[in-house]
Amino acid sequence: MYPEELRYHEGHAWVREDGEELTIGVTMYAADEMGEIIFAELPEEGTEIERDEAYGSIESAKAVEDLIAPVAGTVVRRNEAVLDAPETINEDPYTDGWLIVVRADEDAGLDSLLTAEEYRAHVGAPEAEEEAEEEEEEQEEDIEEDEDLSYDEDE
Amino acid sequence: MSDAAEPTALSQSAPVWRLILSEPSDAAGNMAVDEAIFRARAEGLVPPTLRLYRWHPPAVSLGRFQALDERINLDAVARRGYGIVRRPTGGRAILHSDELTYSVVVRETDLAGGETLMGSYRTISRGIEAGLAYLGVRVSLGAERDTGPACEKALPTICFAKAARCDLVAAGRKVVGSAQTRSRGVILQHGSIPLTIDLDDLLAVLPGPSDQPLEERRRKVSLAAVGVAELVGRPVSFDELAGAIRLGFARRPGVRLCEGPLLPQEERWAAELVAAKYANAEWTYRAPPRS
Repeated sequence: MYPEELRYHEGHAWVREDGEELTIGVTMYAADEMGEIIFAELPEEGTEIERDEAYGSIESAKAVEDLIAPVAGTVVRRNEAVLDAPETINEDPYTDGWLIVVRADEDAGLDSLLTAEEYRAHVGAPEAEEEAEEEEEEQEEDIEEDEDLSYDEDE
Repeated sequence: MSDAAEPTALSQSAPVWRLILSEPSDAAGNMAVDEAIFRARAEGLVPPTLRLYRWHPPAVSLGRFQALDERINLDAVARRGYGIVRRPTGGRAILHSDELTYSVVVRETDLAGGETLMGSYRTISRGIEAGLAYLGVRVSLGAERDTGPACEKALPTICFAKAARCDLVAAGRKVVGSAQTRSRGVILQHGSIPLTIDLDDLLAVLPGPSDQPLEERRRKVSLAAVGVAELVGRPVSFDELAGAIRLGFARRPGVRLCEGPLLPQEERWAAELVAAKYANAEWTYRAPPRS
């Protein structure tokens, strides 16, 4: 769910260090939360991104969500395949579903990223899939509850 | 029951939200105000906000990444003097005509379940649902795969031709179509609640795929969507629906709504956003990312 070798950001991004280059993507938690991703908007090569600032966005049937940069740096390349097939982010967020590669600034903010364990604690769910299933059940219960409600007394 | 556990508007501990009842505005102005409130909430300048508004002239709004193609008749939009705008939120095209539009701007922590997408949809939807119940209309959250005839992927350009699990439906017909955007823990959700639907007007502006006969498209949209007046069985005014929605939010999310204006800072941001974004052709007519 959250590979140990990666670092994480509270904005649901992961970072893989490879020499001077950092590969960035979104976590399984975020991908599951969004549901099927239908559009991804990513910055072009050469774009400077700021830590904690939006660098792109993704859209699912539920929402448009900003992609928050986990580090500061300059975009070296972006994943063109994901632009053509955004659902790859859902299917494989940590490998084929990577989003951008950046060359980190000197003060990129790498030190303040979370470990897998810390990120897991941050999202408060050991298994996002389980949470999603629970959510579905809750939703069904809510609807059933609402069937029982009468608003007559308020009118 | 969860209802008893929720705070009510009568409780002193009920959170206070700002209510903005906007004068009718053009399309760019409406989207700019929603984003200005979003920015103000992110900066902590304003409390959670419910805004109720309408559009003058009527306008088509496009999803953030929606392609402008032949399924949106720009000539018909122009001939009618309607506006066109691209929303900050996702989804499909909507014709905003005889309707009430709501927007809710909150931090995730302002809402029960706000940290998850469906949780936030559910909590906000409860307010709308409770409001419509005051008019005798029973709605529930739709399901992506099971909304009866409404959910045929027949007219994929038009928001009201398809109900998603985030939409409120009555007997499979979409009553409220909503969309959301999130950034750094702040949520903007807005949605359209048609009072009436003029099928001729809708299909002239948003004709959908040209390979289907008009009558077929009419049938599909009328099966898929319904206005509040038809469900109530009599004309319903904007003010009456707005009153019901206010009562609904006081009941179900259980918030105290205090009517207030936009801050001067929000007004300034909105004016900037009109010029730089929502009335700017570069934003409105931009090409979608590949997909």
